[in-house]
Amino acid sequence: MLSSLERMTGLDRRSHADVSPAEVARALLERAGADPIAVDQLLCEATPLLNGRSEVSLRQIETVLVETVLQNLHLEPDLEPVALRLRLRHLYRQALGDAEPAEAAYRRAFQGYVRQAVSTGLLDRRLLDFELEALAARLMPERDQLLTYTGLATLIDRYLLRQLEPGDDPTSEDSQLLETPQFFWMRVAMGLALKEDDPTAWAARFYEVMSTLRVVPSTPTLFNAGTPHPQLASCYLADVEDSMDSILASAEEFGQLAKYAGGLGASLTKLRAAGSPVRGVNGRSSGVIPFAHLYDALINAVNQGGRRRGTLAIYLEPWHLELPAFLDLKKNDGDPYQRARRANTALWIPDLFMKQIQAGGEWYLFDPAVAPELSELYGPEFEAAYWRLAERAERGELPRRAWRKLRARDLFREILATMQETSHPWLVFKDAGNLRSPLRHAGVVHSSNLCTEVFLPTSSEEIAVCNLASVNLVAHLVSSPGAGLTLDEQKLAESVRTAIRMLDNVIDINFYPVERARRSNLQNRPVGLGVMGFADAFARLGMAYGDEASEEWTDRVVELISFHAIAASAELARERGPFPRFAGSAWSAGTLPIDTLDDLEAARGRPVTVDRSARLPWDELRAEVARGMRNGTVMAIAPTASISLIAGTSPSLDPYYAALFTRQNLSGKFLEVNRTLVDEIKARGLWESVRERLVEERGDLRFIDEIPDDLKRRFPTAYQVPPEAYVRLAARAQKWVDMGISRNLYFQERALERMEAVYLTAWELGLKSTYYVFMAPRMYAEQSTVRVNKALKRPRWNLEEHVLEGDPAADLACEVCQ
Amino acid sequence: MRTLFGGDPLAAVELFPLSHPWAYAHLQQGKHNTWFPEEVPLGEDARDWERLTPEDRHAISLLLGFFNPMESLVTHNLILAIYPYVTAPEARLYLARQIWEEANHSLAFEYVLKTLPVDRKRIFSAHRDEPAIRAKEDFLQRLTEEILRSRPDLSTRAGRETLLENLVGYYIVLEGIFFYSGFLLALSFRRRNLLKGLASIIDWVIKDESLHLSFGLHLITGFLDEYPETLTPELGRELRGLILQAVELERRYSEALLPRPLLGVSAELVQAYVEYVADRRLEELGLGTEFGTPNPAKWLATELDLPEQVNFFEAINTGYEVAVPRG
Repeated sequence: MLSSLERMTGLDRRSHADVSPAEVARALLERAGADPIAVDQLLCEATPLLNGRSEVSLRQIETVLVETVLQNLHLEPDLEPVALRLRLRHLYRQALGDAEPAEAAYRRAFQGYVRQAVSTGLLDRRLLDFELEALAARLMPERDQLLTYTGLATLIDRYLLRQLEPGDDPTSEDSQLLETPQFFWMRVAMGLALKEDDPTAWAARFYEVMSTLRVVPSTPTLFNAGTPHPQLASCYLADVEDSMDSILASAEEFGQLAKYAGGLGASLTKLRAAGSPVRGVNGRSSGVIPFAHLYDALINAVNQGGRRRGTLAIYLEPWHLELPAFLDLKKNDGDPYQRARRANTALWIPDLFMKQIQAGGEWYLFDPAVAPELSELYGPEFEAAYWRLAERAERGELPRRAWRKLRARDLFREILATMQETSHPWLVFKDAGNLRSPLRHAGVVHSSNLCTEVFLPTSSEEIAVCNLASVNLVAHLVSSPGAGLTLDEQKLAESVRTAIRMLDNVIDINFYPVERARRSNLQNRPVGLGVMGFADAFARLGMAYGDEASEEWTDRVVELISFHAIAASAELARERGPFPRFAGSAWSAGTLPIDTLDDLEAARGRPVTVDRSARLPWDELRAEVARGMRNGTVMAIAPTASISLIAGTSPSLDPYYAALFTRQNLSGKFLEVNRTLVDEIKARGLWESVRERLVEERGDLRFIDEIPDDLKRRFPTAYQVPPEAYVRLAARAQKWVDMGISRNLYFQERALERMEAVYLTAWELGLKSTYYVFMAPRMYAEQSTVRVNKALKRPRWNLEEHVLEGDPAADLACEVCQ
Repeated sequence: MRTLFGGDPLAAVELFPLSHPWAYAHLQQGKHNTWFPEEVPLGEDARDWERLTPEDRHAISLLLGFFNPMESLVTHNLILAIYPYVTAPEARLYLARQIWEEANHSLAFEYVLKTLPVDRKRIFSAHRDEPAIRAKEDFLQRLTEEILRSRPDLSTRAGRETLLENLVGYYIVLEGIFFYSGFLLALSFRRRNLLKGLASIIDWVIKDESLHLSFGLHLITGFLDEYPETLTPELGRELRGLILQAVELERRYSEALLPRPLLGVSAELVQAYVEYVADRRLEELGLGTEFGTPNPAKWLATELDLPEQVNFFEAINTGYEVAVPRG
């Protein structure tokens, strides 16, 4: 079917002799809502790229136009919807057969899509049990306009289902797209409502919160919900035992899990160190590193269909004798067989290590072969066992090759220096992770996961599983006369409750590639609700990232989310029964996350100095919780790198990297603009005079004279926010969260003393995790689109001819085509 | 105060006190920028290769066919022509560092050539077979040969002018103009979400080359400070002519690379970019701009100019730095 534009221009796929590509391009831009001045300018840039071709398809014209709009976004961010609409036209033509579908046809197309995709095996047969017509009627096509261009491009590249012919490249632009964004949200909603008593009604509710971008499930859920292989969980956590059987069996399981887009966190702490005797073969162990390399290579081999890379984080406790070699795993030089290029590394740090750093004390490294008890202990029991081993070592009761002694602070500086170089290992705190776990009765947490926000027990019987979703704060800001922009708390509470139900559903729908994982998940029923868009919300609400108001606001918002998440799980327990291991859990004693701070303090023997004020009726909730919880855990704040792009907001608790910056993922490299800042600058009439300076200063406002001081204060780059502010913000959130928070840190300074102080503060304030460390680059490549090297002294040749006055890059653009 | 040029070429290094702290700063930053090609997985690029059109492949092949031998020409010239004349130890140390980086670039392009399913034989011989590449190579080789032939004596006017032409030819023309059209083309593929591994390597190469170029500009202005009598309108015109000649060579090269426009990039666009870059270089040398051409590739703001926050799981982090001094 041809859209009216195509009929108007006489075009379908090939150009007509009597309609020039430039005319078509003009019509397309006008339809996409570009204003007349922008149309002329964009055509001027696009036309040379359309000329010189013997034939041009509509698709190519649209592609060139989209690229032309995109290359102007840093100068004119308001053009973004034009790119979005141009890209949507092409998508609609592929998925619906018409770039401008009539409403009835759109709704019919949805039903046709589901039936067709079921018949070709792309979707679960049970999707036919829904009342398709009713769901089709609920679709809101205009919500496609809520997306940013980047969000849409990411969806198209990897998330929307395609019809693959045998031999097709799954990422090829030409394989047939079957979904529009709204079809996609509805498919995911249906996939999550499969086992509801009234699946159609629940699918409609799930669709409502997702299509408005209020709740976005994790990437595996978005990929696979509603398909015949619904592997919907994000994270798997495993503890590898010190035996060849366990090492190899784990390899098999890791491969299966990675194949279905799950990320892995694996503890290798139990593996004996290199040189340790191996009975049976009368030889010596090759240690942890070759097996880390093996898992790395395995994960690299399983590339997950090109949509997501295989991912693994390897955890080690810092008392392991092979810690120094472990630190080298991510170095960019040295023996490649002693390296893990793709896998990430993380340390699972007991409190004692931090105490010894602080006290300037000594630190022992042990071969787990002589210290098998350490990985199973935490808190005071760990400390007692550790010192017993140290005494035995000093008395000469341990083999000399099985231990080493060094200064804790020297080792920590070594770790920090490695982090500056490789951004690894991540530092995650074992004792806070265990002592504050609601599932202490179910076993020891041996590691966190791929993104350091999940804390669940593992054992030789169980691989822990977690499925995730995040609420988007910005989608809950409402403008009201008088009050201005505020957070709609009631709407947020509704979103949270709906999200918890969706997450709980995942546990029963999920396809478990590995039996050990299924067993664990059905026993503990853990879910992890997160939240994204803090930096975006701070900006819109007039706060500066890390200022006191933003800390206070974060505390209140996470309290609200935590309260409703816990309440929703307690309510679900009434409806569906508690999780099988509820008895004996912290929940069953009415103990809430905020209460477990006391356990942490008691075990540490020192206060965790984080503000404890609360404003919601937690006492009432304690009683409800003690009656039953549907889920062993409810919250984990994930990094949301991918889904925040889809939602068009700032990821997780992360700041804006700069006023203008780029993000790269598997779908491409995208410009990110702090829209609130741009709007503020425009409102003050300064945009034209500062926009090129913004590029030149790489999104750092400090040296742009025209920008008023209040904006400079309100919009720092990530490196201008003091690192302590990141830690404090996370501490205020962590107290409400039963699992963890991925906390990225940004350092302008490279002094190791400074880093050490920040990480000690993070530990003292009760953070469970820190994640990537970003160091401010000391050098950038020469810039291309702005004038540079201005400061350099210019030789004076006294040449008189040939000197063009003024700025060669001044806007001479388009003289050629006027 | 030690001079940059013309000291005792065989004197052992006495680094401190520094006479040219800028050279030492370049050396330190160069160390931080250390990278190795094998850090970049190219599996996806190899798959992308299957999806490229014949025109795309032609362009990339000639691009690699240019980069690969050119990196070695720079190395030769640094060792044979420049190093003997630059005698300040801090500058010599940087030259040694630069030589390593150029070798690393050669290895990086070899790594790409050996991983992608390209027609290796054709690419390796392109610098001999393709007249437009050959012309660029001849242009540079003549400059090196001139040094080797005439062994310039810096106490003579002719000697000084020969060395300066060589510095401008390599640091400004090759590192500052010829490479940039290649960067533009390579990055235009990432813009189409293709060959991202190659683009990561290019990101690193650009970072290195930015430093080389900056060092070269310092070296040239330093030379002119030490030999101010060299600063004549005649020589200025000659150097200007050298750069304009290079732009002309670049035009032929772009046309050979892109006989027909690719999606989003054409020979005209590349040439306009070359003119834009050449104007910048002319300005930096104090020679006055020639073309007044605006940058036609505004998208380089996203590809190059703005800082990138890496999603570590999905992209290569080309922003990290190594060799941290321990505090």
